[in-house]
Amino acid sequence: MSERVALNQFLAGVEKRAYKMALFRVRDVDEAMDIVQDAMMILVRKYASKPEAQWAPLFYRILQNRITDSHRKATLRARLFSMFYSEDPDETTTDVIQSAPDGYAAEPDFQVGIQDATEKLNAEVERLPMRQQQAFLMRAWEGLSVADTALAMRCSQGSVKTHYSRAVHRLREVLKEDWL
Amino acid sequence: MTSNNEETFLERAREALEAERLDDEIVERLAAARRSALDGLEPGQPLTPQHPLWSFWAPVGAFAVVVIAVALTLSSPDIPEFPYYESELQAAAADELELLEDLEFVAWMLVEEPDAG
Repeated sequence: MSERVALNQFLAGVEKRAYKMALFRVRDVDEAMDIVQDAMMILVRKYASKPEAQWAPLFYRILQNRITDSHRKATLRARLFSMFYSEDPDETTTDVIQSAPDGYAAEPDFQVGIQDATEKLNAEVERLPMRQQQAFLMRAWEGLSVADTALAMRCSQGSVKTHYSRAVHRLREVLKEDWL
Repeated sequence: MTSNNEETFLERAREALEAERLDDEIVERLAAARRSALDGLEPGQPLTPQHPLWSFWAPVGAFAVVVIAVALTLSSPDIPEFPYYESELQAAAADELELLEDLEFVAWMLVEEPDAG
């Protein structure tokens, strides 16, 4: 199997999860799509020659960098906008990202046929702090090891364990009445 | 909170996340993004990074130039000293002196070997 085919299979295997991870954070379909495409291009152009085993942590590292950049820019834009246009001075500290319209709501098909469990989980994952969200999605959903998740998140393995543990604890707490 | 319960919870979470079906348009856009990314690779192009030839030879050439320069500096024979004159006047005077020395030499030759002329 050629490396090109292997690369195609790898990207096809992660693209849906990558898109969802981006969407959880940026809550904008087009922005999430751009982030995933950028991550794909960077992986292909710069890291395709790396061993296949390294593609996943490298790809998610690129993806998380792009998500973080996008989130920061959106937050900065929101703050600037609030400073100049907000009528209520107290609202200048509002995190507009948090109060932005739900990305799923913008996609009518998103809501159709989705089970309650998925909806509730999505909502709670979306509320997780960024680092906890990253650790949870990469460990629990993508199945990355602690070491690979640490590489992707640019932090220590201890930090990954802490973020992941807090995320699982929080999700279990808020979902237990509905789930278990 | 036992690990067994946690495993059950995580298994259910994975199933819930995987169960969500993306809109067909999103799926197609993701596939297009993937194709676009892979188009960056020419068919048959090796995935190992290719560097232009000069990127290898440039440092080698620079190193060679430095080595040659050092070798020439260290091994060059003593360079003969050429007369150095601070002004054109001194240079002209030196020329005159050489001319006079030549004339003296010619005169001496004529005296010593009258038949030579």
